[in-house]
Amino acid sequence: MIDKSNAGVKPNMITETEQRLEDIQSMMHIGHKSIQIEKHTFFYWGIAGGLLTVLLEFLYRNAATLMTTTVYVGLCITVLGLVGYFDYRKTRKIRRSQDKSVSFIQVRMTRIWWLLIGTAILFSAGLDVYGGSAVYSIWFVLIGLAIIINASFTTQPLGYYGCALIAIGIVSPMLLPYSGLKWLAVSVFGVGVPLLGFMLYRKFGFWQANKSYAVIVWLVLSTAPGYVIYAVEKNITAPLIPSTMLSLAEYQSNPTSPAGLQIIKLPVGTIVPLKLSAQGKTIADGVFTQLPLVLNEPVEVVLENGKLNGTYRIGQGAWSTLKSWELLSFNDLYINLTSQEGFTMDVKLGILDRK
Amino acid sequence: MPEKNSFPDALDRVLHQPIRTRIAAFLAARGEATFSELKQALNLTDGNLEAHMKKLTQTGYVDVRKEAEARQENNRKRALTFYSLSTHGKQALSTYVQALSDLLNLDA
Repeated sequence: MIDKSNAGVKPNMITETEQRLEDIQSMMHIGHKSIQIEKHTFFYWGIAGGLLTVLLEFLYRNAATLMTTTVYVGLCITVLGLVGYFDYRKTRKIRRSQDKSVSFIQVRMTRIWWLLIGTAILFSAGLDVYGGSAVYSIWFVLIGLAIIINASFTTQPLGYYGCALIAIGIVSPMLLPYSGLKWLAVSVFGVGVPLLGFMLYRKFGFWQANKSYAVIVWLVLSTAPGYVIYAVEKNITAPLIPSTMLSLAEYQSNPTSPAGLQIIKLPVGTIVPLKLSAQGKTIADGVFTQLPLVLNEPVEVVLENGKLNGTYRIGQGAWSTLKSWELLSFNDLYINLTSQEGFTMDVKLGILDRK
Repeated sequence: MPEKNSFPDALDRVLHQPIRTRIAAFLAARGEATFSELKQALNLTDGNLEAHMKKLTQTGYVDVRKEAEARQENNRKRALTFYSLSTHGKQALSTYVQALSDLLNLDA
């Protein structure tokens, strides 16, 4: 509220001062509304996006074996990177030829645009590899991105922490199973974010002068509680491992079920029949069909009083229980009709196991 | 010709001129602008704008950056001049706005 009763200021002075403040506000408003997307930008990105989609779909259909996640990400980065480069150059050239500059806001918005495209590529790759368990990574990356966007318009050193969150989102699914990611999310959001507020508003000269050290300290303090809880939980639920071990052939030759625990070793090459169940409006499973999967690595399972108790390990890896969610991604589904085979469906499943 | 100033001495004499105030505010929001953009935004003549820009650069409130670019029409190189508010200028504008606010008891 303007207090016009100010005794020391003349009325005409108040009007002039108000006018001056209004001028400042008006010019700042004009200065902020300085983003202008050039015509070619719409053409470049639109056409490139369409062509990239067609190219990826073509490659998936005709060279599916070559289309690994790395190839997919590489193609997206190459095509979109080139478009971005040529768009940037063309925009600059046009602006210069018109005697115009690229405003501060537009530079920041271009950076955000790039971050969003990078995030979209990251999500596509993450979902391809990790399936549904990428959900926490998506949250880490999105919150990191939001913090980086805030950092574009503030003097607070938020950008470092946004990058750290994105790094957590990328690295964590490579190191931890879903049950670990769950506790990591609890820790990073529940402890890390309030801690960030605490650190930003504490006038510690050390944190202000050593931003990279501060980020490392923040990373450790944010992630450690989650990892500790995960490790403790894993230790509590660690399976009781018996000492007697049988081969599959020995077990099959003597099917009587002794009391106690036994390990059954399934060697490489063991055929594991898999029944797939499909329930949909158009298609549902009919007669039972066995899908003969073959073990590429030895697997050991534990029998308790003659029944599987869910404890297993792959190769010489750590013992686990089936309580922890293993990752299964449903990648592709193709249908085909031939005179020899008739109508067939080809489903590609990705199973990400952890040793 | 001396500039007419009926305001208290606490106000910045360089910024306390309507056109220069507007130039500083525009540059503060936009970051960087060319001479043409400033002329268009403020609706000024070349001579008028040039005089004010000279004053602002002399006091160190505005930084000047020159860049050589090829013009599309005649393909001849032409130096482009970009103006931006310096750190000193940003601080001065902030102090000036605060002084104006104090004058109207806006923070009261």
